[in-house]
Amino acid sequence: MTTASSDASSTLPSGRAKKAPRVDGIRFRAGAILLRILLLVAVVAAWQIAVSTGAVNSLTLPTPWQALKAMSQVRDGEFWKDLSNTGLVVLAAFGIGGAAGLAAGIAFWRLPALGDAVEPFLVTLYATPTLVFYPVLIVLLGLNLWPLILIASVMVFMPIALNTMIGLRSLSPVLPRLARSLGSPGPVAFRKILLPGALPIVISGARVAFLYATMGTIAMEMVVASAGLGYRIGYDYSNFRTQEMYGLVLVVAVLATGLNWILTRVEKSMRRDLA
Amino acid sequence: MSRSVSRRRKVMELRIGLVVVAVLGWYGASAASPLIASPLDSVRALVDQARAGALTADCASTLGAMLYGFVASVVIGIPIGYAIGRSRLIGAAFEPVIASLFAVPRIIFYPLLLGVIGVGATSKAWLAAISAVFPIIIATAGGVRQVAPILSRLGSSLGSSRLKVAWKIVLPAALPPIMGGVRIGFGVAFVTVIIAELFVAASGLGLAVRDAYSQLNLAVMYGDILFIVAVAFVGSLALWAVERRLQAVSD
Repeated sequence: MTTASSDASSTLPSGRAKKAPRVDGIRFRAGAILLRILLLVAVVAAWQIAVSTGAVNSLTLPTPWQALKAMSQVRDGEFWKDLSNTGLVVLAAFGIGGAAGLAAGIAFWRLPALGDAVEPFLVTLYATPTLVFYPVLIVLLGLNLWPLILIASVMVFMPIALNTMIGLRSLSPVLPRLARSLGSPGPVAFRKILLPGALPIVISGARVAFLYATMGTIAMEMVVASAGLGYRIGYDYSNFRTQEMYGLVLVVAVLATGLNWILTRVEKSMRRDLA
Repeated sequence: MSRSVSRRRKVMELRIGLVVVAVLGWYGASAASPLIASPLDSVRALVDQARAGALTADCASTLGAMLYGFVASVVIGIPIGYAIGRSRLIGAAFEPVIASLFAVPRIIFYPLLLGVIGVGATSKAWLAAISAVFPIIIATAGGVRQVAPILSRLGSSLGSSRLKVAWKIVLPAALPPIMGGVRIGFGVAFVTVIIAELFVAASGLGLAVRDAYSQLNLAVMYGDILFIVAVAFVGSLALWAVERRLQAVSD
């Protein structure tokens, strides 16, 4: 996973060199798409061969077609219950962790010594399995949605706090001075000048945060939960419902890809420097 | 000069202060709630486990799987990232695929690996590898792309083979960003193995936490968590220091 700091520094608006516009020919684009299709075909073929030659037991690995057919479980009410459960946790965590991360990022920027002091903790938190605290919270709060929401909030908090701090620090120190000499009071200057300036990097952090929260929530649901997409995958696994499990894994992969596509679109539309 | 020294001291003091506040807060919480083990009890439980040899065995299992997966992800990820960064066609074809796969929670593939490979070190290592490989690919592609094209053209006009250009010119020039990806991959490999062990495993630190949780053995659970966090913290800081030194050298 890309850390927010390297993510941010590589996409600083000022650091982008002007590239000459390059028009890709139709043949080039067709070639790229062809290569992608070839990869897909190779993966599916290898999968099919592994099952039909008996290299892998068909009890533990369904054929690609069987897995595809099992994706029809999205029509069941059970799937929608699991999906809404996971979605609720992710959204709640994004709200809580996002607000806290934004506030903390601003505080770390206003108090540079504090920011420097916490930076190694924030950076190493990425490499810390925050999920190991999940059992701790279940013991404290019971087996409901709150332990999930709180841990996922921490996962949202880290990249947003770090990127908010980095984004605000990357702004030229002239900007606040300019605002003051133009006579605008501190909060107005902050809202009108500094925050928009830092927004591109904050948005990058927000996209990463949303993906982290989704990944973390599904992983925690697999460990202990009573509903949710991760819970269902774990349930299918321990009850030897192999085809259903493969179908659901494909569904989750498609959903995550779609989510990433939407978030990337949102990020691009909000970041003028990438356009 | 003296200002930066006093600033650094202030930052250091703040860091120590944060740790002290965290420990005190933990201590206070443990005094207030019977559901929280105190720091002292947790450390004691950890020492007991270490004496009994359980900690060493779990550690070896987790770190072994993590290292196998991490090395595999470096060996697989750097050439793929290099190809994506160097060839416009390969980049255009596969960069969107990599970006999309990056967003898919890797843990959902763990039950598939368990089914095909079985419970054990190999399935954990492969899950770590397929998780850590993505940041390494992305960082390598980005780093290779930043290398000035004139350097590699110079190499080939002096008659160096493609492999030699890659090994002697492009990769060294792209080392700092690649190192950033490798550090992140290392952290991801560790986190992934722990998560996998929390789900299903035969041994490991994650399983130890899970066992302690299901027996409601709070002191052991807190001790193990403390240990996992400490391992992640120290390992991550060490790699961060290496990365910053490489950056300083290349600047």
